[in-house]
Amino acid sequence: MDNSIRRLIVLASLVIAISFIILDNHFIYEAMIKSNNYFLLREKIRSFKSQFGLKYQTENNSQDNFNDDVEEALFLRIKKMSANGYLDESTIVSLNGSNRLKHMRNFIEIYRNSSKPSNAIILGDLIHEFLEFQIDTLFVPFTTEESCYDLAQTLWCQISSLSWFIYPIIVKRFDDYPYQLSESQYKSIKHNLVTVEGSDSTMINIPLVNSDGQNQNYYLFSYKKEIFVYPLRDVLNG
Amino acid sequence: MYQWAFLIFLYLLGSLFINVLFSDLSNRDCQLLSPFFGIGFSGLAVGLLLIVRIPLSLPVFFLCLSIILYTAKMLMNKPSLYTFSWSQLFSGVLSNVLSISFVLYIAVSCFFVLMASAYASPDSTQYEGAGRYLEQGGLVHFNTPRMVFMLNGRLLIVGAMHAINRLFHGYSLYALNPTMCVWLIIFLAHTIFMLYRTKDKVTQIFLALIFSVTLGFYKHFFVIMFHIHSNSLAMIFFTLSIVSLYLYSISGEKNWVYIGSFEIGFACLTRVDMLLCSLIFFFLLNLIRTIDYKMIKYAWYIFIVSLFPWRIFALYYTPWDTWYVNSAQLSLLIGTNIILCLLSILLHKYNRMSFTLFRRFPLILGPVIILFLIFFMPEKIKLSWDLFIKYILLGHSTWLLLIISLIISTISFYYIDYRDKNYYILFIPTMLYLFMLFLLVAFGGYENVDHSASRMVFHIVPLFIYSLFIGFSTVITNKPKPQRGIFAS
Repeated sequence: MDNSIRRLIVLASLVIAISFIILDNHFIYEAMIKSNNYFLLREKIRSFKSQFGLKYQTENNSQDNFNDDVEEALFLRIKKMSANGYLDESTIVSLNGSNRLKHMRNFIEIYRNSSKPSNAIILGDLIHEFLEFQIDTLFVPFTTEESCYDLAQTLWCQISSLSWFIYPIIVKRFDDYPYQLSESQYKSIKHNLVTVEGSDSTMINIPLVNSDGQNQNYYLFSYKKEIFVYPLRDVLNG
Repeated sequence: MYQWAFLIFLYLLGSLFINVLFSDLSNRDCQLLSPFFGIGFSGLAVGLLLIVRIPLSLPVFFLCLSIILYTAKMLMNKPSLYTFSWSQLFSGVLSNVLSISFVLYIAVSCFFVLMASAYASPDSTQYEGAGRYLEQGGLVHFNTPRMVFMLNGRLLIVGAMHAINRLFHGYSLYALNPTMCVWLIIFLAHTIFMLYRTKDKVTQIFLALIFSVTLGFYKHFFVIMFHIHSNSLAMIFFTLSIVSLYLYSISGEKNWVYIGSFEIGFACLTRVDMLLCSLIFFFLLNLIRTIDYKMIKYAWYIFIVSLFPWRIFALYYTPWDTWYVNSAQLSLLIGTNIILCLLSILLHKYNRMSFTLFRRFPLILGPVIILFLIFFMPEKIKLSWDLFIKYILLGHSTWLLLIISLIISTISFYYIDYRDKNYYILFIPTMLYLFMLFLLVAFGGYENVDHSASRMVFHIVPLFIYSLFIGFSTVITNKPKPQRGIFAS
């Protein structure tokens, strides 16, 4: 074969190879997923793949952001991106200053609703910011061998991340205490708190305490979609 | 602002180290490599403190860096590789600071800090957690929850970066990955521009620009760039190590071999599975004809000194029966690297290196392994075929397009390889890496369970795209390279 023809073939193959990469472009993709035709095409390709055995089904072991309805998934994604959760801004500014508030808001916006373990680390972050030197041991009612626990109508996963976040505070798994609050208990402690909205619309409450207060043990409580970190004695006395 | 200060610190620190280690490297290369060295050496310092059981704090961290810097300077002076004074060192750093690159770096890092955009996954919470744990004085203890997982899965480099950012009063580290990914694009575009200086300026700029846009906006690259994870940094270090080898094969400047050695060491500190990539790096290094015994010895020294203390420390804490990486797997990875090290050093020492045989090694060994598995462990082959080939490579649209592109570009390989013998260095790692992932899934995968190999394919993306552009440039230049023949054929 003539060298120039060979060169042309090689050049053409490289141009095609590069074109595939250029077309797999983030912005083209973002523009495409907004159209219904994209979903129709995707479904056709998926059925084609299944027909020819090219689609191997795995168990979905990361259920985060998973939704069967593609249009609903897209809607949720956009909603999530624009959602601004509640943040007790005035209290945080008075305690830690506006600069810290800005950083904290940024952190929570990145992690809120990002995945199942996100509530655990938002809680850890709040404890570290406001109760760092007040807690000796934090008791949490997650004692079984499961990776996720249901509390306050949401999931709490990877509790080890909470331990890492609030080190050197010890996180102790212990459920022999009334961790689900009664209405009267809830009303008695629902004051003088910093409140932040975590994932799944969970309200996370941390008590405001004097920084020279005594170092003591705290417990995790829940009431409907709210959670509290509070000393056991104060809850029982309340 | 604190995070921005941290990112600038990484550049300055890297500049200091790179001037100590490679004083005769060109200013522009020093400037473009500085942030990557800053990350690597910061991670090393944190690792060293954890090994000697000193809780992390800013003064201790700076002290540890100073000791490493001083030791590096002494070691560099001793074998008479380079001789320079402290004043030369500071003038070198100053010239790196008073440069367009530094201004550009400040602008890029500032943009991503202000943009405050990041994508968090379940893994991100653990990287953030590992960073907080170290910053709050945590050390390696058996009684810390999931310490083994933290050691092998979340440390060293990424966890260390989160920790140091907190020491700098940063809150959450989100701008590091996008800044470094953009800086990688700038570095690679710069090398494309420099490699084809024989062409007219317009073609040079056009190629560099098209490459930057293609890689920068490539769907997976763009998304993972903002992902708080270890994938981006591992990909960056691995790409840099292989590109460094290619630059050595083109320029013959031995600094690039040592730079590559450092980069692959940092990659292995970032992710444990990068110990597979170090095999690819040293395999390719052995294929370069101009590499002598002394150079290969120093390359291995650098890799071993930067990596092994941490990995052996981690191995001590890793039990046999753990779900993430167990000590058998870790020992196997370290052991394979040691075997390759001994083999390559001895072959070079006694001049028994058969370049032709070494080059054909993957072509012989690959089918032998596959045949062995087909006959003796068919279930492993089936698992990897189903999980890696069908589900990951053909099932994910991005990887499917990448594989189609790879197959099409293979047509051009022999033509380009004839004109540029060094092209092998850039093109073959993609094949080798995918083959290694196939084996990894065969032995580490589980039926009907997703495998991290789906994310790991990403590590090879920039290198593959870079190889396509280098190949394209070679074809349009249409003349043999001046350095052809430096590579084994």
